Amino acid sequence: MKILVCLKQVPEPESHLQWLEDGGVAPVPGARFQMGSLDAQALEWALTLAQDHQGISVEAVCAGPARAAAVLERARGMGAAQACHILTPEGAGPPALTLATWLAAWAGPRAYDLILTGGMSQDAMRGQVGPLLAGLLGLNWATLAVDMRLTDQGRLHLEREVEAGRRQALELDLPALVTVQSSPREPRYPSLSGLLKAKASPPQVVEATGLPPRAPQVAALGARRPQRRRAGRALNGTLAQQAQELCAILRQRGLL
Amino acid sequence: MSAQAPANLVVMAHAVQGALAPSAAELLGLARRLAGQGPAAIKAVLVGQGLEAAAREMAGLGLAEVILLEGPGLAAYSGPAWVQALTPVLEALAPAWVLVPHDSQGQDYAPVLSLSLDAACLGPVEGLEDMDGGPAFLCPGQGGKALYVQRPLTAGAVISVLPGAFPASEAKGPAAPLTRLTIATQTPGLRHLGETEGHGQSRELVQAQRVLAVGRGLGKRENLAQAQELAACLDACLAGSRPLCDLGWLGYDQQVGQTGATVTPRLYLACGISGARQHTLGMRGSGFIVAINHDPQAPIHDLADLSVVADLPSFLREMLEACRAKT
Repeated sequence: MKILVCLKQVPEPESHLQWLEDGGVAPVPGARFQMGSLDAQALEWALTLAQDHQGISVEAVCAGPARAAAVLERARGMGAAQACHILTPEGAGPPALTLATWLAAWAGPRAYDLILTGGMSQDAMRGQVGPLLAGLLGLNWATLAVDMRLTDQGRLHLEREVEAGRRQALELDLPALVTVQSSPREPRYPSLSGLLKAKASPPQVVEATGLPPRAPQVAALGARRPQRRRAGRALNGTLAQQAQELCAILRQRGLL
Repeated sequence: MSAQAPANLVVMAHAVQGALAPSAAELLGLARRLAGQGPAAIKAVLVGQGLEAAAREMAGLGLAEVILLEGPGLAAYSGPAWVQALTPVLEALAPAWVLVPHDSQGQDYAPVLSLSLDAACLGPVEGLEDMDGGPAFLCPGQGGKALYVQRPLTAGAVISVLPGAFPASEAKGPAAPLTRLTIATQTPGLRHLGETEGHGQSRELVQAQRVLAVGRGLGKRENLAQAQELAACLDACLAGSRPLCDLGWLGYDQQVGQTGATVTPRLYLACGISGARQHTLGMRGSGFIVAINHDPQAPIHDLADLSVVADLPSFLREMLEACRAKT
């Protein structure tokens, strides 16, 4: 059984943004990047399934510019047996459908039994790539899984989180694609031996420009700063002064 | 589309446990704005069993038609079954826009539905902007620090819309015709095993007049005691963002946001919370919002009536002192 985990490299959550002259937005130069947190959880699920069952190999794929190789090195360090880097040009991330098309070009011929990925990336925040990839490959899918296990019959039992904390339980025959929601499971740290192995055998590199193109269906027209919805008056002074003022304001408003 | 033929706009009206979700009227409000340009027929589609009352409620909101898709395979939600049921119906309507709530169902099926309709998928949308060449949609990105402006390039588009982002349409009208279609869906390889309460939500939290919510800015678990003390001092209910619940520092029933509780207390203190949409959807209706975050760019400040840019643990200490000094 083969599991593919689709990973994305995203800016660290506290990275600052710069507003570009062309109306776009990008992380400031020198910003640090990391594996998407939900993608890391997807990888952790895959590695857990591989630990609990014999004969499961876990592979990782990441579409991104040259710097994204770091994500695959980490994935190898965590325990992925193989990695593929779909090398994309620098600059703004591609539309979700383009990304899904590239991933489908890699995954389609390799007939994975299970494809896992994060429910949403922290930068694009669309949550579309997983379901689109399932649609392109003609797979059954489920999103926002918070729990999963393989049954004795070789099916995937999963629970997805729905509104107000309720959970929906499903069983999927494989092959299938599942996106994951955050859960208390802490993704493991890479092991030194895993990292050394990764260094010794770099990922297979596939140029995105060599994959079948797909006409974009969504036009990106730049970015805006979110508008303030409320007054948002900032308090000033030392922390003690600000705390006193806040207490005074709350009392004045009858909130304390 | 010829100039005379009205464009079809479809609103996907979701139901939660049989009752129409608030997002249905919100999407209708957005549909009316999109329809403002020319003749348009706004239709609503519901999918599921036992939804006749919800469909009739929808039919009273001034629509051209309400279509209810029923079938034994649609009793419980699954993306593959919904896409199968919706595709022929929507192909026949050839809508310019299909508006889908970005909830646990919409985010699941909208992308695949767009593929089967050969339409663009866009979202989650939280704003609309009129630009040359028609409407453009604003979609949050970068943890809510930016809004991407996007427009579909296809004749029809599937747009997923964040719940709570648009005001609900309050218009009523004569009951629209209700079309009921029974659809046989085949989803081999997918079995429903039912739905459970899960972690639910704390009643105390939902009813609280004052909520002190903590996020990742709390830093260390040791600092939780301080937040608890301050909550007690303010007579506030302690709550948190999802990352803190994932860490196990708080129970999931204390979570505020899209997958937790929606609260509207008189006072909401957002402590060390960045303000991602998943959280703010659950608290933005609060009376008075105070944001405490060391990052001046954190989007929570955009929602706040009062902002404190400070390291949270240090500020909590000062707040405790100030709070005790005069009580």
